[in-house]
Amino acid sequence: MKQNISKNIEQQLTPKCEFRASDNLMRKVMSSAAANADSAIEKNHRFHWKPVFATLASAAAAIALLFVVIPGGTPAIAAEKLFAHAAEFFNSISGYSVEFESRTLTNDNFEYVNPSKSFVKHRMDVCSDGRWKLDKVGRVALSDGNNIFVWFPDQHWGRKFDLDRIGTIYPFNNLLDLGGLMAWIEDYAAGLDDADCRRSEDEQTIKLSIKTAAQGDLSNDYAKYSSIAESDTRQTYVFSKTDGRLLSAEIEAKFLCFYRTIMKFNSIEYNANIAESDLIAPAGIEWLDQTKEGIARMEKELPVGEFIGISPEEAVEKLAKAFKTWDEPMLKVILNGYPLTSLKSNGYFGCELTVTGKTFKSGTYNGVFVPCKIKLTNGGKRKVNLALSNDTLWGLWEVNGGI
Amino acid sequence: MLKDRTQTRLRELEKIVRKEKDRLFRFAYMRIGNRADAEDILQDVFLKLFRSEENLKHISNLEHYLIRSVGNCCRDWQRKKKYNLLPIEDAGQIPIPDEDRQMHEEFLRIGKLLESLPDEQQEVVRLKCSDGLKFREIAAILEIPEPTSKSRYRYAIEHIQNIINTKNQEQ
Repeated sequence: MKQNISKNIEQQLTPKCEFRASDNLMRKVMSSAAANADSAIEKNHRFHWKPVFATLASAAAAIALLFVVIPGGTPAIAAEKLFAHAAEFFNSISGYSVEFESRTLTNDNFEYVNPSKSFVKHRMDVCSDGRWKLDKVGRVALSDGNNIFVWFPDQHWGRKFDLDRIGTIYPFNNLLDLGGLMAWIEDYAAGLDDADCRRSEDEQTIKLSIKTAAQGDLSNDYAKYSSIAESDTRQTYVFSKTDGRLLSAEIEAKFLCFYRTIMKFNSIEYNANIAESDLIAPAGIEWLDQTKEGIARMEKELPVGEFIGISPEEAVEKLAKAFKTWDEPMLKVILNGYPLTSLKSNGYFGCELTVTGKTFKSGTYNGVFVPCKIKLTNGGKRKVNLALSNDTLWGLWEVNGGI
Repeated sequence: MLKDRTQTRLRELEKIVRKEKDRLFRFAYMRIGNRADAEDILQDVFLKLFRSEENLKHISNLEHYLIRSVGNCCRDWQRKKKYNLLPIEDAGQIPIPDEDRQMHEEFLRIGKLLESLPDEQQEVVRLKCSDGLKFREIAAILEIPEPTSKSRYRYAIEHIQNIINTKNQEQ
């Protein structure tokens, strides 16, 4: 009976008509291919490169375009030559490691910067097969080719995501292939009305200097300077003129009335030897399943409806009540992605959470901030701006930061 | 010499296009819902294949490669159109040429049945029901274990069955 029902549904999901591409498609493909072949014969060269580095070539072409469009620029190096050499170079390497520093907190989001903090060392290892690891001491992320894992080594917990949740390491996802980094530069130069891009070159190098203005709604400037995008920046990237390799990069943010370096690249090792053991998620970590399947499971079992169709303040009130009585199903919904066992033992069991101010928006964050006071049961007191967003499919409120 | 080789490659491409175009067109149309964009995507994929001929030695299964490439392009297309996408009901109001009407109705009908499913379950269902692939092939294309492709399919069918049951009860 059940099998019959399945068969019936399968039939309903199967298109009941023929799909035919137009004859025109065949003509268009063949004539474009022929034109392409003619042009290739003319140039008498063709390149091939590994997909992971493919965008580099287009970025190199974008740089070449800058030669043309920037007034006063002279195309001292042919765009095509750089394009070819870049493709050749990146096709030949097995992977790379980038060491850089950023003014941030060791276990905060990768996106977070703060010009008043000290530098924290980061290392990113990228294999040519697409696996990678990003380590900033208190927060580590890796992709083993099946999932992305982000964990906090000193707190022994972490989150497991699907591979498409690459935004979890933003903005350093731009380092996953160096072509992506250059595309990012191109975005800044071309995509922002108020970005200013300049090029200069000497015998060996090409330098791109970009100035950007802080993005987002900063009528409340709480989020200003808290990320590269939310800062007025001056960015400098230096590339090898012979093969398009990135040689160095530095980002400064305008803080008060002067520029301060918030990120700088210390070294880039091409053909780096990346150990297999570095690309395996560690044991002894409590993993919170944030994959789509994990979330779908959670949504079936938990009272998600409680946090849909309400205001952010109401969501915080429900959170406060759940903290007071330690209502785990409710906490699992609104604190999705937080380790409850750790919170429980750190004074949140029975804590008092009260809203102390008006909800506001700031910067590029697509949620809201709710000013709150937390009185922990271990005696601790905290004033926080809880970051909440509800940009999920159902409009479900979740806490993204502040706890 | 180079010209001869190019001619051979063009003939090979023609064979591939002839063999795969309708199947890939159905694949793209069922994800995009309009002929012009679906054919543009196919054109891009075939040209990419032609241009990167020397890089294709690692491709063990050309059909899977093409499906994956068209799938990626469809996803890019959907991302780019994200802010212009119409709800599925409104998509029915777009003028459709008579010869594409039946195809478009199928796109809308099946899209409606699948819309409440997570993307990854939708994808497995489409590959199985629209594209007629086996779970082993689906797993290879999506680069997931075969049991995962089966379980996603099972969840999806159960979910659709529940929706249909609820609707029947309401009626």
